[in-house]
Amino acid sequence: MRPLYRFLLRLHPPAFRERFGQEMVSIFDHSPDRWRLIADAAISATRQRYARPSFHPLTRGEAALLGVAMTSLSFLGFGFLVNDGVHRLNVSLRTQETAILDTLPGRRVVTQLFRDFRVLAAIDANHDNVLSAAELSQAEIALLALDRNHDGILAAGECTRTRNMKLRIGRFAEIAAVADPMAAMSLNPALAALDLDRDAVLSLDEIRQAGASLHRLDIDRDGELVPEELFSPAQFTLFGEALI
Amino acid sequence: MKPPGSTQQPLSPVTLHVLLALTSGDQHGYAIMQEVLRQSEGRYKLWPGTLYDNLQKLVREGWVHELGAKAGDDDPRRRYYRLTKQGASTLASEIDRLEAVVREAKVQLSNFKPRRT
Repeated sequence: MRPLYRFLLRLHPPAFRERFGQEMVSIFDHSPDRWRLIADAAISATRQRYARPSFHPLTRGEAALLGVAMTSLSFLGFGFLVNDGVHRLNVSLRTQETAILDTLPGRRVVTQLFRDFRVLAAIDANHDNVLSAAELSQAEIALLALDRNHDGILAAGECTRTRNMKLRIGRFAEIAAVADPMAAMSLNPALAALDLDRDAVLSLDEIRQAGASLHRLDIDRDGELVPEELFSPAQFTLFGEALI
Repeated sequence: MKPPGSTQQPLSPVTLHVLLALTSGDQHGYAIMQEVLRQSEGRYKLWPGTLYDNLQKLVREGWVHELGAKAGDDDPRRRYYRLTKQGASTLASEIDRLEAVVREAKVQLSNFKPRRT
């Protein structure tokens, strides 16, 4: 993979390559996301050649090879994006931003997110990924059942599961899951709503007010909480990166 | 405070994050990527192509100064970057602008009444 990365760097304009090439190879050598960096280098070469004032024309051979590389990566990228939850893809060479906008997440993604955030899985008694009015009314009882050490509070580790940063959905697509339970308490809207004093712990008082706290997330006032009301948009963005 | 009559355009998210990352001191490219990831609480991943595309613009603007390699670094390929005074001033102006947006948004949202559909 390193020879491929170095080849893609050679497609950059000479001035850019001489100035930043060694640093980019250094980052490649230290990073585990080798395939992502290769895709980034291909996009970067195209952008530097065609979207920057310091345009340096390619030779015919380099243009042909870049065309083959970009076509191959385009098909590979299309494969990444085929999953249950994709509605629309917005790819811009100028902004280099790949994100799924205004999509409903796939059911498998949402189910996994519910499992990651134990408090939500506990309240969702029928496991339909929606917190109904009836389930919210029983939220206190559901949360008390999570208190494994019976100390009357729910620590961050009892509210969420600690996971690796990458979660495989299907063959290719990934979604970044929260690895740090403490961070999850503030990053996730539902946990943040429950943790009234923002101390990353759910006290007995906060557990007793769980139903009322979660009701504040009900944006459309229909009495139930759907995934769009429970999770932040960042948790539904495939790849999780910004390339602007 | 932004000088009266300032017409600075809003900074792109990457420019904002890179300038913000450099406020904590001289950094090499990989460290800037890690700092942006930390400051954004994992939401914003910066890849090298985008990072160096922006760094070349920021150096040309005079907001970032390229220091070169540092003696004693365990990887001599790394080059360090420093925020200039002009870059710090630009960042401060952008923060002022964002604060004004947030203030306005809070006022508007406090008066917002969702309509039943």
